[in-house]
Amino acid sequence: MRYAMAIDLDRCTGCHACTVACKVENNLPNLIWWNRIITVGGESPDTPKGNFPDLKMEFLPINCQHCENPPCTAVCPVNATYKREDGIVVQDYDKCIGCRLCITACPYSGVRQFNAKKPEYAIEVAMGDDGVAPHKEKVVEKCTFCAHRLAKGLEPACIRTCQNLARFFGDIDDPQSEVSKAIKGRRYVKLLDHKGTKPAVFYLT
Amino acid sequence: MFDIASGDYGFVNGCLGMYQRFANSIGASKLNVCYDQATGHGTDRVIGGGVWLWGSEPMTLLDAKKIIIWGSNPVYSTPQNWRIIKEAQRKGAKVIDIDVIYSATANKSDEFIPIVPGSDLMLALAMTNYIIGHNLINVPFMKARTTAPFLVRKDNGKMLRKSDFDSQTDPKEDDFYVWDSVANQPVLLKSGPKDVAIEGTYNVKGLDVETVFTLLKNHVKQYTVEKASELTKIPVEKIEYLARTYADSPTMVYTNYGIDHYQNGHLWAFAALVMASLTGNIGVKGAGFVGNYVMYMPLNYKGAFYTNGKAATSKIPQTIFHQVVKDQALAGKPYPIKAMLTFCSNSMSNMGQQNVWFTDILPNLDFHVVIDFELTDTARYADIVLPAAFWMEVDDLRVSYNNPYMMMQEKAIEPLYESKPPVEIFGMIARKMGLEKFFPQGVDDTYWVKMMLDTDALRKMNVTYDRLKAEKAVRVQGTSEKPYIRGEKYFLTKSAGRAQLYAENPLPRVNYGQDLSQITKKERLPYFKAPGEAWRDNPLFKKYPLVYIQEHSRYRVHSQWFNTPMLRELDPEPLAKISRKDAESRNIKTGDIVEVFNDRGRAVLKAEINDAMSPGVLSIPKGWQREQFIKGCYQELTSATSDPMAVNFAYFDCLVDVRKV
Repeated sequence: MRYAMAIDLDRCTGCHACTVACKVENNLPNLIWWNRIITVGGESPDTPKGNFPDLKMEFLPINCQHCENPPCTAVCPVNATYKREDGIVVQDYDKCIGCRLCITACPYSGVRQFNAKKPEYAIEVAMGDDGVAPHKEKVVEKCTFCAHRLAKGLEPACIRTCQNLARFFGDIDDPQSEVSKAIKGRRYVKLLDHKGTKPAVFYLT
Repeated sequence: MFDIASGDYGFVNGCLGMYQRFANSIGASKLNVCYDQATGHGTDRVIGGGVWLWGSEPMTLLDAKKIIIWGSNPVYSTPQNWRIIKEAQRKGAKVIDIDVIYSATANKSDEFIPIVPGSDLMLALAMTNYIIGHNLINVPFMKARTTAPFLVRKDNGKMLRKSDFDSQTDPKEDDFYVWDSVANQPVLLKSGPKDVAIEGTYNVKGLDVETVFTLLKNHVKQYTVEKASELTKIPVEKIEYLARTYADSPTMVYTNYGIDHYQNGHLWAFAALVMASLTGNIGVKGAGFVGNYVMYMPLNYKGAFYTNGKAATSKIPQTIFHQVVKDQALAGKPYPIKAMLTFCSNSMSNMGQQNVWFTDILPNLDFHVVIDFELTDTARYADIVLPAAFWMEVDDLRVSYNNPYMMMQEKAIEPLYESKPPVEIFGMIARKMGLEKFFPQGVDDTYWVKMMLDTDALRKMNVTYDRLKAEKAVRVQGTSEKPYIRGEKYFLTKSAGRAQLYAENPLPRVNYGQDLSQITKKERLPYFKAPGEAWRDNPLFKKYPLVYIQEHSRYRVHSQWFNTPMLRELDPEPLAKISRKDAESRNIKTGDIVEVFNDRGRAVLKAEINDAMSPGVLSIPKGWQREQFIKGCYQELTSATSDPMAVNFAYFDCLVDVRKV
């Protein structure tokens, strides 16, 4: 039993429905995004590279890769981040001392985010699921694969919201799972695979 | 004056709802909306159905072998349709994108064909000419489903009818003449000739006539691929390839309101639908037009809205509203307008040539009330703002756009703070005006939902309150196996339900007294009319050499969601997107503050060098409010000048220049 995610880059249009769904579901504070979309193209978001009209652009959604060999857990001095048996790399805010060694160790820049100050929110009402751990000042936080939803038999919030049907999730050990079916027969890449992190996110190309 | 647009399509609390009951009860007038009207004005010439009923259900895209996305960016503007295009592409359909910029849709298409802004009409005309010249037409389709074989009188340009020879003909029994090619004589269409001629010049009882197709064929000969290549900057071979690809039916066209935003937009739609009719690419499986799919449903409009027997209306289009308010007159006759109620509309932000609000509209109105759930530019300048409850705080009824469902909208929470459901706001005002009989006290949204559903026609369709309440969404057109194809059985025309290749009597979309004498005859056939402003032959082009478009943003629907905090983290501020070539020649770099300007106004904002922009095109994605600019606003630059037939804001038909400040 190992949770994994697949993202079909041919279908992804960079619409940000997944990043916003994540932000709402997890009541993320202002300027915190556990899931982001990078434009592989020009210098600014949503711009292509090349000379008009011979241009190229690709969108790359990035959240915690929930690595099989996570560099972050190895460096955490207080065991605030660790790997569960189902493959999810979790972050315990109560143990975290905000040293940010994990951020330095993680090769996937930006997936781990630090709440430098008291979390602030755009609206006064909390959003999302009340099973999400309350956000805290001076700790590191990141994608949980929506562990609180998985506990209820639901998929992570970013999956079902994808209007392009580009995101898949499930148990990679189960050939009948959505993620296994999505990967089957497809070429895929894993980000920075050469670093030996063995990410659980498959990018279908 | 009621100023209503498309901010919410609810049949109770939205722009299709009970404001009409209120407006009619007090005898108010309503502005004629001039957004996105040209495409439908052009399609109406060919297949009827008015401005809105031209698109097929988007699921029909799955049957297409080729999809030409023309002047549209569905990845941003209709993402719910893009995923269907993507699925069709995955199944093997070839997707070709024609656009002035390399959009996110161009990025995902199999082929991107850049085009000069506003020249799409010439491309369609030249493709049509090529298709006819190379005999790529679908003759059986033309004979059976179009007016190609109808005969046109050379003396007056009217179709030859039974009534031309028999003045006693009951107008309902009138019929069209065609040329029976077996018997070699003119016959009435209803007589059911075995075969008809689509080409030829004939004399019928002393009247010289020719077939509609002959007329069209001779007319489009002037639009050569070479001429089109010169204007569109698409290579000749590419235009020929496009024409052949299109004619090899079934081919679908995906379009919306990009080309609509030029002063020749309706002529492009006219030309495109004529081309579809010549090639059998309409009203059949796998072909047609998709982009805006609207359904007409037999709701209780009359019972719910017509309290005084008629509908609030006016001959005042938004495009000339500023002039009418300023003059307090229409076409030389007094037309006093002193008070205005704006609802479901951020008119100040969405109507072209924004500065007329400051010079002409606001100074000449005594009283302006805005009902909205966002503090829009229009609301900021109003005398009174009434906070409307949001969609999720009211019950309502919806007939969907771009999908075939009628839906029950159920509120998730009660209205917050001072906001109220719009129907309640109208009711409270109406009761103070002594109109309690039309707006009784103490009724809820459900009362009005049930009133709208109270028709025999809906009951016959088994669309009832109880069913909608139970199922939430009910498919009311087509089936999942057979999605709805527009015009599959017949077209909504007065030409025996046929697609019209010739518009005998072209009328303006709205007649406010404009001069049509020079164009009425021309408009019978699609012809090339250059964009009104954004064209290289315009002397203004030397002063303002950039065509200015306002793309649909990923993160807004027109101006809606301009102040949603989460979206502002992703997309914090307006940007002027400039091609690398145009930026370098003006020494502009990404992040520089620039002024985009013309004689009508300006916008001061951050620049972004964006290689998606075709050199000569500058874009500021639309919908940002005035306070979000350093100075000015994106809508100050656009023009209120419209084509006299389409009477539509031609937002992209606009020239500007840009400089570093």
